[in-house]
Amino acid sequence: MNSAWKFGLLCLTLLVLMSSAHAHKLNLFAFEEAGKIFVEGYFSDGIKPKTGKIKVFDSTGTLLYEGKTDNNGSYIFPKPNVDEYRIELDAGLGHKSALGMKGGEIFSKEEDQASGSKELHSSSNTMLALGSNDELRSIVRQAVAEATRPLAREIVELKTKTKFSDIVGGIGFILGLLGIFAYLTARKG
Amino acid sequence: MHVSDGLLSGAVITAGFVGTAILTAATLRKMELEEIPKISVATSVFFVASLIHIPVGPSSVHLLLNGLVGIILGWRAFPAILLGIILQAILFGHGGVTVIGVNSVMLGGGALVAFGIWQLRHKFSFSKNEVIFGGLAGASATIASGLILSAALITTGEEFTVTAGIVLAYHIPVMIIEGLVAGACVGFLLKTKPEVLSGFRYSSHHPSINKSAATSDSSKD
Repeated sequence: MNSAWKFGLLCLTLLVLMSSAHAHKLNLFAFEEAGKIFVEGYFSDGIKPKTGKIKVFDSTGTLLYEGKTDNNGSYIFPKPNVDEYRIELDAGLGHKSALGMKGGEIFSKEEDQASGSKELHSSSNTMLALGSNDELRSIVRQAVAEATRPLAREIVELKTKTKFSDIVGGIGFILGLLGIFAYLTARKG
Repeated sequence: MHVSDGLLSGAVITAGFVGTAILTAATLRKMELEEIPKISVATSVFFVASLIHIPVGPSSVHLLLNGLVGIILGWRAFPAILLGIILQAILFGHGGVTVIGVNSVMLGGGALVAFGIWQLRHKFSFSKNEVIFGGLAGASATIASGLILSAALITTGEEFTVTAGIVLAYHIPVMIIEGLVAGACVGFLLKTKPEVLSGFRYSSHHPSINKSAATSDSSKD
């Protein structure tokens, strides 16, 4: 029992020390073009979720559209008449993402969130969406989003790629932590 | 086979942490100093194994090796896998910090099942029974983990039988590879360093091996 406490304490210390975790996420992206909404999903390692279930709800929770993503992880549906709606992508086996939409703009993101706990982190998109009456601005924003998408994806890929230093560091952590554990056990004994 | 953050309900996440705490406390009892080097090596193997990707069809699967850890460490496999999962979550982003408990119960539970199967080899005495039971243990760890994963996913609203079917079908190649790897490792360790495998020290069937394992351990130090 005593050693279990020590081990637990070590694990906790480790968790507190390092909290910069980046998960293997399912990202969702949507934009409006010519009265249609283009939805695209991709995992942070660049893989496209094929035949992922897409559902579109309005603000009251009524199902508007339902379908599956194609081989490129994308899905297209006509822009709904309602002002606010929600796009959900379920790629199965625990990968789920949702987007809140206002008109043709992304309003809020819920990436890899459980449908029960809705934690909306409003991004800078909220600010832009409020002043989106200007048509030109919306076109520019779309173009910029399109142009920077590959770059953004590359950054995500780079971030999630496993580095050799991480591997060696992890092994070092294991040996070091168990070393401390051995030291504590030995002093008691 | 790692569950990601934010998918499971709070109840399942809490249950995962509670289960992990109980299993850690239970499996760490009467820990001896001499066991620690072996645990650190096995933990490192488990930690790195998930980075080894094997192409299967259009996608690829990665090794788990929780069965092999169970064969080598016995009960101590659980805390070893817990530590490995914490580091995988922090450094590689496999799974996530909130689901460390669930993932530990899933993969550590598989390791304990593998240990149980591995111990059954004493009940049979045909030639090469260690290698065969090693392989079975490696494969059964994957199946057990898949079933625990499916059970955890029920809370996301997925049907258990359907989910279990998908998870197990997806992991058939993993299961076969795990079985082969575990069997091969057991065969190799039997020839080179049999005292590394769990169950030798605690075995009542082979008192002679107990003794030789103990002496060779101390002579190495």
